[in-house]
Amino acid sequence: MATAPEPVSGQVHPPSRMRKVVDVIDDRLGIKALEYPVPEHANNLAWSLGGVTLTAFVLLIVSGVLLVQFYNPVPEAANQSVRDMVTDIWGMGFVRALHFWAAQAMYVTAALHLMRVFFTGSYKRPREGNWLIGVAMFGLVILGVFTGTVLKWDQEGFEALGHNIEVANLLAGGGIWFSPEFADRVPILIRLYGAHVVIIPGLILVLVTLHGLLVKRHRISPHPSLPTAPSGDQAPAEEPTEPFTHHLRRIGAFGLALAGILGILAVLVPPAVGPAPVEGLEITKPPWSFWWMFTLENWFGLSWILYGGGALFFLLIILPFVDRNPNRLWRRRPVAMALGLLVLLTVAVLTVLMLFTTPQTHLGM
Amino acid sequence: MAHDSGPGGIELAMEKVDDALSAEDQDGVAVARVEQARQALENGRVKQARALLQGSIEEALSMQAPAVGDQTGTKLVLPALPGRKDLTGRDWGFLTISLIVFVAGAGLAFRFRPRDTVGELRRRLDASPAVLDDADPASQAEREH
Repeated sequence: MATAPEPVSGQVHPPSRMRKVVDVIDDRLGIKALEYPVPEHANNLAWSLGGVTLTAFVLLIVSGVLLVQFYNPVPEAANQSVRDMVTDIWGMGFVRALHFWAAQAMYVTAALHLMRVFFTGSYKRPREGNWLIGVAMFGLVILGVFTGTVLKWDQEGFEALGHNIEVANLLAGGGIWFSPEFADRVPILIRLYGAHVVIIPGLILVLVTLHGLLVKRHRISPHPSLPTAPSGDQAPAEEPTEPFTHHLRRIGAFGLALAGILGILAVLVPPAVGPAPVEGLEITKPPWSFWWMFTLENWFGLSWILYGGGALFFLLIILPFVDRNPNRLWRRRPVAMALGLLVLLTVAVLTVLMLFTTPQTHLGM
Repeated sequence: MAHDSGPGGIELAMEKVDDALSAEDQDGVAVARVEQARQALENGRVKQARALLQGSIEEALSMQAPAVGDQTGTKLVLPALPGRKDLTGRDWGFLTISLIVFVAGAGLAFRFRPRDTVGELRRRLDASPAVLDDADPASQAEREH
């Protein structure tokens, strides 16, 4: 529907050319439905971290589409194909490095978004379901990082796969898909490749759509240090609002800045390709995001990868159901804050300890 | 040795070579070359040992079926390819574009910043008589202090 020109001081200004274009598109696609109001506090960086995570995901998809043109997922050729694309094909070294750094960024921004939601109590009623969707997406991001590590098919990736298979065996029937026995005539590398390029991003796309729809339905959570509406779960009507399109615009700007930082890292700190894998060795360290679990493994054995990771996700899943405190301000939530900080501190200390740890042999033991 | 050409890697390689020399099934393996490789390792000639060991299993590799399950499929153990090298003109191009993208993004994020900070919003809302805070009266009182 075309917007009528607004009379200002007796003068009538015709709509701008840009406005006309938006009106034409809106007539056909209804894009103005995105102009619903959101409270002003939603436009700060902390409240935009979910959108920044999404921009990292978009970068991963774009760079991933380019990478699959040159990657060969057959075990005999996988490592060499990564080397070939980096050394022989124009610009692909940069694209691979950008993909690597975008994956790190998606993991970090998703974790920060999760922490922001925790510390501001945004997972509380009625947003428990959306919290669970977010936790599931975080799990998928970790799986994406893990499968991406395996795909380069170097010693580090192969040892990561070995740990994956051992954990799958611990889960018995529950881990069958992750074991080579599930389809023993197909290299597991090809199945993990399918998971990395189709199943994991596909599930993330479905969940991110649901996540966005639920954010629209429940509206942006109130800021804990601002007054709330009488219901206690919404920003007050008196808080200034801006169209959601302005929120998207700021997320786009943050995303652009992130893309620039990732591009700089891709040039200055590109990832190496490790030596081709050899069975029977256990000499590499996993990617940093898994270090805390591998410190546990070094101390207590391989099964603690499962116990450590399982415990973290168990806590994340039960959080909105056991935390019945209606307050959102951190000072009014001492138990949740203390437990949250304890978990964060534990993960951080275990991660740092891995820096000083020599990997021990656990595979096949 | 492709993973570690230092003393630790040599020691590990010697163990594997000894295992291979004492194995019952040596079909497809040129044992004489493995023995030469062992001597080369003892004398610290890592590069020569690698070439000899790689050559010693050529026949076995040619008989190998395509990898399935969690087999590596590795026929030639290539050393690591380092990530960082000297910057080329192309790298400088990507670096410049990335820097421009970052500056543009940061500039736009600043330009599109919210009109009020959270502190300003708090002051404005606290001054508004219509605002209620039924859900969390304690924190409301805390803010007033």
